[in-house]
Formats: sequence, C-alpha cells, structure tokens
Amino acid sequence: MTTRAKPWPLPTSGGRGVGQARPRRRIAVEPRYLILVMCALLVAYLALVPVGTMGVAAFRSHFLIGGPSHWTLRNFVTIFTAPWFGALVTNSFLYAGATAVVSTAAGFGLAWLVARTNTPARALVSVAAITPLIIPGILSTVAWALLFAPQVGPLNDLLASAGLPTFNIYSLPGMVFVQSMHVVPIPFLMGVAAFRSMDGSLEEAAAASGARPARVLRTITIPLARPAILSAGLLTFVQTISTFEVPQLIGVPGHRFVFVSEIYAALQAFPTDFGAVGVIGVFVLAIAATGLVLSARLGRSTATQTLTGKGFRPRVADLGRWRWAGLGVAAAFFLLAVILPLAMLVWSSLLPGYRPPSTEALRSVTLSNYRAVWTTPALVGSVEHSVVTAVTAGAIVTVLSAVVAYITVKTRARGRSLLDGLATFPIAVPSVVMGVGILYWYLVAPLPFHLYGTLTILVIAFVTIGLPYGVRFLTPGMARVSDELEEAASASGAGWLRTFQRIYLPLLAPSLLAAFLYTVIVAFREITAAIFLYSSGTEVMSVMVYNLWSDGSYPVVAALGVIMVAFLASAVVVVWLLGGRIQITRLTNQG
Amino acid sequence: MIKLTGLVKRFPGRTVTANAVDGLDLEVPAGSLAVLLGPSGCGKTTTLRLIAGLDRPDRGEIVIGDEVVCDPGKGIFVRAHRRPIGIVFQSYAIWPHMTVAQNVAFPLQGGRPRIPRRKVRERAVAALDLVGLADLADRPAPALSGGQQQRVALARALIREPKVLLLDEPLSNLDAGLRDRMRDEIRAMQQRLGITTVFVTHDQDEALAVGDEVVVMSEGRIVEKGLPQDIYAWPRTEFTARFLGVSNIMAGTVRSVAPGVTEVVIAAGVLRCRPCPGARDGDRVSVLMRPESFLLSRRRPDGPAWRGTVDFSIYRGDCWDYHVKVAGEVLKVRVYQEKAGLAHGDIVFLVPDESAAIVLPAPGTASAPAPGGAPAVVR
Amino acid sequence: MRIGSHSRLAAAAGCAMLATLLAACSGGTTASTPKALSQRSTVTWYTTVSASDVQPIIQAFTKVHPNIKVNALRLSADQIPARVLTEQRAGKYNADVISCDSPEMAQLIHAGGLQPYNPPGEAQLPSGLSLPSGYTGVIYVVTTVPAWNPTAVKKAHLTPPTTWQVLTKPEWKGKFSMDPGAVNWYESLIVAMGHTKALALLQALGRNKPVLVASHTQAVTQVEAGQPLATATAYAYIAAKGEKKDPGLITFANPAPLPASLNLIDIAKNAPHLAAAKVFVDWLVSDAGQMAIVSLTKEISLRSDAGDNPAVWDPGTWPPVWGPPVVSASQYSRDTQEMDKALGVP
Repeated sequence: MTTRAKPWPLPTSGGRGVGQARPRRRIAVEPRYLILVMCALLVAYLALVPVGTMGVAAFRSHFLIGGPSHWTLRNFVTIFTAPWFGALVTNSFLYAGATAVVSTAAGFGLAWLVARTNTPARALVSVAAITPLIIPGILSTVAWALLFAPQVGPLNDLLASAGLPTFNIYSLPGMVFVQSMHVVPIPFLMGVAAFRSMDGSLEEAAAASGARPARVLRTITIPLARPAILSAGLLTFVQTISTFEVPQLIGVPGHRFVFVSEIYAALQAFPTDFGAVGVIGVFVLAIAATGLVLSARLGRSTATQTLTGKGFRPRVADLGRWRWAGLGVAAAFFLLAVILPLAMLVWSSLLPGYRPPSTEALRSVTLSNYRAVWTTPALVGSVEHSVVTAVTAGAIVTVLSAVVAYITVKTRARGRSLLDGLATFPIAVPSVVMGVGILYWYLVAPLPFHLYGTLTILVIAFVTIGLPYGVRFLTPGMARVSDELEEAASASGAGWLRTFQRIYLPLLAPSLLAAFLYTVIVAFREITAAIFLYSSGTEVMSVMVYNLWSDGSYPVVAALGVIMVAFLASAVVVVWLLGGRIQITRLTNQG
Repeated sequence: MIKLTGLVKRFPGRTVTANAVDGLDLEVPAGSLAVLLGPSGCGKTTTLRLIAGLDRPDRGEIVIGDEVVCDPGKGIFVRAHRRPIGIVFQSYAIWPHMTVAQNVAFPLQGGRPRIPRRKVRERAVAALDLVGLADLADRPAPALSGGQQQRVALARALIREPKVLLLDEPLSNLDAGLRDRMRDEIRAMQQRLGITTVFVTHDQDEALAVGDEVVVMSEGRIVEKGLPQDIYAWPRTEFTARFLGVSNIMAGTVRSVAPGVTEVVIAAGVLRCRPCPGARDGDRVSVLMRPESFLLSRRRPDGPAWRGTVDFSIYRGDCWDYHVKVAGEVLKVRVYQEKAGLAHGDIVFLVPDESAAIVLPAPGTASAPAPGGAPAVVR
Repeated sequence: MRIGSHSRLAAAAGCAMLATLLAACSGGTTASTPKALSQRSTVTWYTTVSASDVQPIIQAFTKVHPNIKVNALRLSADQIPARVLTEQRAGKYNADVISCDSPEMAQLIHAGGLQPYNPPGEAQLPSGLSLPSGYTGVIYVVTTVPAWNPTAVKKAHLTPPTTWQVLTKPEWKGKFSMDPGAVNWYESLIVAMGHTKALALLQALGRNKPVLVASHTQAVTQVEAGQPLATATAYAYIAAKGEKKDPGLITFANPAPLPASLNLIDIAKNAPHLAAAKVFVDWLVSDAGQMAIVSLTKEISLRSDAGDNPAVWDPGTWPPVWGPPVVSASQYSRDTQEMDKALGVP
C-alpha cells in the first residue's frame, strides 16, 4: 500500500473548510473576550478608514476647501467627461494588462521548471525567481531607467553595437518591462503551489494514452492550471494598477499617464482638486476590488478541481537534454531581474557623479557616497525611521493577525468571517488610495492626539498594508494547531494564557516569523503610501530614495539603495537560518 | 508477451540502501493476467511503472510483444506514449476539465494517421458501452462516482486496443461491495478480450481471485510465483505463507524424510507433513497449517489428537475463528458451519489435516523446495 | 479561563508602552507657544531649495544661532501651496517658514496661508516689481536658461540650443527635457514677448515631445550624463556649477531677454515657532546670510555686493525680464493649464 501524504491545508478564508466536526469554543464574557473585541474593532478601523475618506472626498464638493460642502456626483461627472480621462483609462489598463500577461507567463514558466521538471538546481531557480521581492520597486526602476536610458544607457549601447534598434525605456513597453520583472515572484509562487497540488497521474495517464510531452502540456497541464493562471494574472493586474514607482519614474517623463500618476499630480497641483483625487481613487479601488474577488474565486476552484487526494505523487517531467536549457532560462531571468539592476546600483554608488559604465569612469571610483549616507543626518535619520517603522509595524501586524486568525479559526464568534474579510480587505486598496485616504482622515479627524507628520501615521499605513499578508500566514498556521492539542493542555490544567504560551506560540512560530518578516519587507519597500504621509523629520528610506532621485543625486540614491537591499537580504537570510526547518517558501506558497 | 530480465531500479537520494526493484525476472504469457502482490514498498508499483515507461530502470531489459522497449545497456528506451499499453491508475486520473467521452477519446486523438472526429466519437461511445457507461458520455468527469470513474479509466485504457493492460491497485479506493463487483467485471473483460494484463495489489484476496499467476514480491525481488491455488496451499517460503491468508507457523525439527512424507517434531507432537525434497534429518524447519485445516471437536476423538484450551473466539458470520492454546503455542483455528461458539477456557481437541501440512525452510535459511505443482498423493 | 494577574500587568505595561511610543513619534510637531530665543527652538522650513544646497545653508545658520534647529522639508514649487493649504485647512500648522518661487508663493498669499513680516535688513526689489507689504522677503533669484551637453551634442551633430527656438526644430525632437511646472519661466516669457507668442513657443516646444522632468537639479544631472542631451528649463546657477566642474559635460547660454524670477521667503500663518522663524528669515535676507548663500550654493542674490557669478547674473549684459511676482489665482490657473495642455499633461 503506498503511503498517501495528507495534502497541506489550503489558505482558508474564514472558518470554512477547516473540516473539523468539533464544537467550537463559545465566547463567554471574559477579559480575553475584551481583547478579542478590541482587536476586531481596531482591524475594522484600519481597514475602513482609507476607503471611507476617499469615498467622502469623491462624493463631497469642496472637500477640505473652506465653505459649505454637500454630497454631490459632480466630481464624478467632471472627471469621467474630462478629455484626458479616456487616455488615462486606456494607458492604465494597457499597462496593467500587458504586465499581467508578461509576468504571469514568465512566473508560471519558471514555476513549471521548478515544480514539474527535472531542471537541475531547482532550489536555486526558486531563489532566483523570488529575489526580486527584496529589491524595492523604486530602486529597480531607477536602475532600469539608467540601464536603458535612450541615449547613454549601457544596454542600449550594446544593442546599438549589435546593430539592433535601441529601446526607449520611457515608453509603455518600458513600463511593462520593468514592472513585469518586479512582479514575477507573485505568479511564480502561485504557479508552484498550483503545480505542486496537481495530481501527477493526470499527466502520466495522458502519456500512457499516447500523447507526446508537448501534447500533454497543451491539453492537460495548462488547462488544469488555467484557473490558477488567471487568478495570478488578475492579482498582478491589481498590483500593477495601484503602484506608484514605475508610472512616476518612467511613465511621466515619457508622457504616459496612468491613474496613480494622475492622483499624485492632482494632489500636488494648486488649487488641489480633492474631488478628482477622490473620484480616481474610488475608481481604482473598484477595479482592484473586482479583480481581487475574481482572482480569489478562481484560485479556490483550482484547489477543489485538481486535489484528488488519492495517493497522488508529484510527477516530474524528464526534459532530457533540454533541462540545461531550463536552468539557462532561469539564470537569464535572474541576470535580468536581479543582477543587472543591482550591478547598476552598485556601479552608480561608486562614482562621485553619475556616468554610464565605461573604463575611464573606473578611475573615479570612490566610497564617498556611502560616507555621505553615513554622515548626512537626514539620510541616517531616514534609515532609522525605516527600521523603526518597519519593525514596529511588523510586531503589530504579527500580534493582530494572530488574534484575527484565532478568532476566525478557533472560535464560534458571530461575524468572524466578516472580520477575516476586513483584515484581508486592504489588499484590494491600492497603496495610493491607502496613503491619501489615511492622510485625509488624520487631517480632518477630530482625534485628541496629533498624528499628522509623525512616524505613527506611517506605522499605521504599514500595518494596514501588511495585515492581510499576516492573516494569510497565520490562518493556515492556526488551523494546523488542532483543537485537540489545546484541549489536551486544558485537560492537563493549563489556563488560556499558559496554553497560548506553551502550545500555540511554539507551534505558530513559523507563521509568526513569516508574518513579521513579510511586513518588514513590505514596510521597507513601500513608497506609494509613504510619499503622501511623510513630513520633515519623518522621511523613510523609500521616500528618501525618491526625493534624492528627483533631485538628480543618483550616486547617493544608489548608495542608499545598495544599503537597503543588503539590509533586506540579510534580514531574510537571518530569518531563514533561524527558521531553517520552517520553509518560509512553503508558507508563502500558501499565500 | 511481456518479458522482464534483470530489472533494477534505484531511486536517487533515498536513505534506504536497497534497490526499489532488485534484479527482477518475469515473463507474462500472452492473454494471461499476472498479479503483482506484496506489502507496501515491495516494488510492485515501481515494476508496473517500469513496464509502462513512466520510469527508467537502471539495468535490465523489458520486452513487450516482440519489441524491446527498454534496454539501458544498449541505450534503448521507448517513452511511455509510444508503448502499446493502457494503464489504470490508483486514483483513476480522470481529467476533471473534460467530459467522460473526451476522457475516453483522448488516446485516439493526436496520433497518425488522423482518425476523423466522428469515428473517434463512435469508438469512444463503444468503449463506454463496453463498461456500461454509454449514457454518461457527455457528463463532466468530476460528476462521476468513484466506481464510475474507475470504469471510465478502464474504457480509456482499452480504447486503443493495447497489447498490454496495466492496473495499479484499481480497486483499493472502492468500498467493499463495489470492489468485488468491479473485480469480477475486470476479470471477465480481461478474459473476454484476451489481453495481457499486469495487476498490482496488496490485497491477497483480490490476488487469488483475479490472477492467472500470482507473483509475490518483497523488497524489490520476486519471492514466489505460481498459480493462485499453488501459492496459497503450498507456499515455499514463510513470507508468502504469512502474506497470503492467515497461517499457523510452528517451529520444529525434521525427524525423518521419506518419499511420501516428511516427519517433523513440533511442540504439540509429531506431524506427518507433505513431502519436502531437500529437507534432511535434523533440519530446523517451520510447518505451515492453515486455520481451516484442523478438525475441532469438544470430545476426544478416536485416533491421535491435540488437546488444547480456547483462548478467545471471534465470530465471522460464516465461520468462527478460535485461538487455541496447544502445548504452549497459540494456534488459529477456523471452523465453518458452527453456530454455538466456544468460550475462553473451553477444552477442545484438534485433529490436523496432514495433507495440508507444509514444511517451510526456517526463516533465514535459503529456500529449498522445487517449484510447486500438483502434490503427490500422501498416505 | 481567567486571565491571571500576570497577564493583566503585562497588558497594562503594553498599553503604557504604546502610549509612550505614540507620544514620542509625534514629538516635535505639536503646536507650542513661541519660546524666548535663549532657549532651544526649532524651525520647520518648507522650501524648494535643492537638497544639496539646503544642508550648507542650515549649517551656516546654525553656526550663528546654535540653539535653533532647522528642519527642512524639500518640495517642488508646485507642491508647496497644496501641501501648506491642505494642512492649514485641516487645522494642522506644521510649517514655520516657507520659501518658494514667486508665482506659487503668490497663491499662498492670496489664500491667506502666510503672515506678514518685514525682515529688517532685506534688499530692495528691482524697479518695476512690487510685492504686498510684509511679503517682500527675497531669498534668491533664479534665471531659467537652456543648457546642454556640448560633447554629446557635437557627437550627435546637433545645433547647440543657445535659444529656445532651436529646441523647436525637428532635429531636437524628443532629445531634450523640460519642467512642466516652470510657471515662473512661462510668465517671464509672457512679459517678454506677449501672451500669444509665448504660448506659441510653448506649444512648439510641446510638439517636440520633451522628456518631462520636474526637478531642475535632476534635469542638469541628466544632461551631464548625456541623457537627454539638453534641457530647456535649467536654472543657470546650477548649470554654471556643473560647468565649473566639467565644461565638457554641460554648458548654458543666457538668452536675451533673460527670464528671471524671485524666490520668496515668508512666515506661515500660525507658525508654531514664530520667534525662531523670524530669526531665521532675518538671517537669510541679511547681508551676512545672502553672502553665505551665494558663496555656499552659488545662487543669485539681489544684493549687488553678495558676490554673484557674473556669468550667470549680469543685468548689464543680459537684462532680466521679470514675470509679475504676484500673479492672480485665475492667471496662475490659466498659465498652468496652458502649460499642461501644451506639454500633453492631463
């Protein structure tokens, strides 16, 4: 009898699907209950504030402008009928759509190599595919803008010397190219999860029925993976349409304006058209939310279809000689997505003034930029601020998502799936809406404490952005701590707190670690929200990078960027070593 | 029709040092059904996959029909999709995104020469008819029950009229009643079509019921092979004896060897066992007796009998199983057509059926006896 | 399952920590009554001065007034009115001192976002220009000129753009950058050649698809790197600094007339640190301050004795043409919209 491995539980949203026929614990009125309720309220507050203020700005005339204001649809009318709105929509959809297609194809291709073939060094390929996650978008965008600069970019020089046409990065294809490479890790992770959960005998049956490997791929593997592919495509579409770096750094100079760049411009313009900001923000939010709901639904259908659970074994296609080609493809991707931008950054950081790479420029190599980062108080301050906000946000997200996961998985409280939905909701909120929404709220809210222009407001933004990911790590982790373990503890005389400390915490440690680390990474990389919320004295590294870039101080930008990437990479390595057996990649697969 | 010679397969990276398949020789005559039987990990599924071409052996030769499909020494390896096989997986591997007819029609598509679509449909429906599912042809595959999926898998495996049919534990996921029915149907169909079949299972009842030849495997090697009745009644090793059915294995010493009988001294007394050529006086051996080979009575019979005490009893509906303590050993005794049953402590008398007493080499010694066959009459 | 006393204590400690954290994070920007100068104080300065120039200026000021700390928030000119007014409308008064280009500053004046203050030692305005009383502080002057990379331009066989008309030629299509928010330059052009011609020039430039770069320092850095080859709206003093370092990489030309504009400095309404703000503004517009600014950053001062770079600022050779320092809201709006439209910005 072959041993049948129990399939990993899928990310549950809400209490369904956990499949235990045990009576859930009832919430009585206890101090523990109060903590749970407070956390729930906090989550609801965090999730709804940005969206609420955006909606108010959209539907009210004279938002934040002196004078009487009333509810109105006029803002919508003005924007939707503006002559440039059509081009805005077209550009945004083209940009996001093309990026979704390219990155999903690349991501799933790499995932197939890793999960379904005998490509050598598959672990390295996995790492290569995920690494773009640690490079903040703004840095890779800056690096690519330099690499493919129309006149002097070194890559364009290479193309020209090979007789090929040069590539103008300040264009829609340029935007798609840069963003795609940045986003590939997401469809990669989803693809690996999908392929790993596919019953290998489905493909073997096709082979045994006489289908050549290409036909098996075409008629069996890809159709079965189709829901996952679509789901990943939608997710990258939503991500792309709501981020700021590429449209601002590459789109604007090239006259390609999308929703996010328009919101940014409208906010800076004078007089500020808050209504326009609100309308476009709500519009982006609606698109993002629709995309995400569809994506989630498709993702669920994959799981139920292909997980037959009857003693399947993952099948590895034998590529024969072609497996080295597979490794080559992965290496090429790594080179493109990670090595080239990083090399550009390192190169720029070593020169006193930016010059394209050349041998004479080598003579002026210096470490003065790094010294500048060390000695300029504003820069050092930004590093401090980034670390403080990221770590604080990480801690808060870890605790909050653990509580949310506990409520949704382990209790019978009414409205727990609503809570789970609220905690996950911020994923649908584009970062720009998040930043502006939080900004407006804390400008107008009659709160007793003064949060505008403080680090706290940044922490609030990062917590809101990181919370959905935390919940996605913690919920399956919590589900894996079966009720019986807890019951055995209480039957052995342990109170709730001791059970939490001695049973839950150790078993949850990998998920907690993953949630913490992911939030720290997200907080470090986040610029879109931060750029609306920072003030003098509260710049974080990502904002600093953007400001320095706008100022043209490329070398210092590069130095700061290299430090950022090094820090993030070492954080990941440290956590991976600490939690070595814990396999964070497997956890992120579930996300 | 199938010939395996010296097949060896090792899985890289395994901590187990033994090969998964360790020097296997097997011949399956055309039109017969060979059952590969053994505990999990014995290599039976691996052997099946090697025949199918889903895995590559490290050494050995595989011939299907008159074609050498695999010979690593000569660098020959025909991939799975080019072998004339049909395979039914343990999980059935029905493609969920197609209808039943599309699943069954798949093997006919994509090959050369192209078969026109109408013909393909005709043949698919005919194949489904063969398994009794013609009216479900256009239903989406996931809507089928386990038994129905299994039949679809069977139809799909047979539609190309392959030379060889391979079945990997096809009945393990069905519930008991369905299992028996399907087993009989598969057997009937195999005999009707006369197709060479290899059937993998860990269930010895299935193996005995279905096969023309039973191949018992353990740790990558063939332990014994032969007709079901021979394997069951006269196993040549203790492993086979224990694996196939319930057995009583009694340790003993050979007292004398004669042409028609071998006398073995066991704890309960002296047993005149079936002849065992190759046994010599003084050899340490095991004696196998099946539970149904005892006559059990509550009163002392005339003639030699063993006295024992009932340890406990299990009622099975069609029979009673008793564990009887005899001379310090516990013997399992099965009694059919008994209504009342015995209780712990009851005294009983056992008369062993000596024509069913088999001498086996003691564990650890090399297996000796000649291949089984119809036994000489014992008197 | 009652929570033990241990955990209650832990919860209380946690709340206390959270409260402290919040308070610490918000430190520094709470509104406070102006303190006497002998005590330590802070000034929050919203400014368009480039990042590399801001630090030296602050350091020079701190040498003279060591107990006043200056926090600079660097924004581009078009961002400043929006930011300041948004904050003020929400009742948050963060900024103490604001310095930016005159068209944008004028909007703040109109909207009532500033408070009047006459620094004692400030310079005279050029003849013909007037600002409302209390809002006459000038921190420096900027001139907008075309700048280009002579080596790269020669290699590409293009005509060096000594005037903007050259950049409207087809050969320059897509090969130069422009600041879509350079309202001060546009308004100078309007004064110099009349609205119709200025708009025509703008549209011709727009048709040549310039790369849109908002930051003047970034534009110059890019030209030095050869990407793009020229910029239409460089600040001459920045280009001059670059030329001094390496004349092969950047040079500029002062067209006649030379668009010039004032960069004004004022105190924000309800500034949280009024006294310190006044001290800061006083120093910046004073003789000492202006000389320090000119020598540290090479910007142009209105004071003739401040040591301006004659290649950049020589009213005799290159007569400046000033856009009106105080532009009405409607005109500002019209001008920005015309720029946006001409350059293809939504």
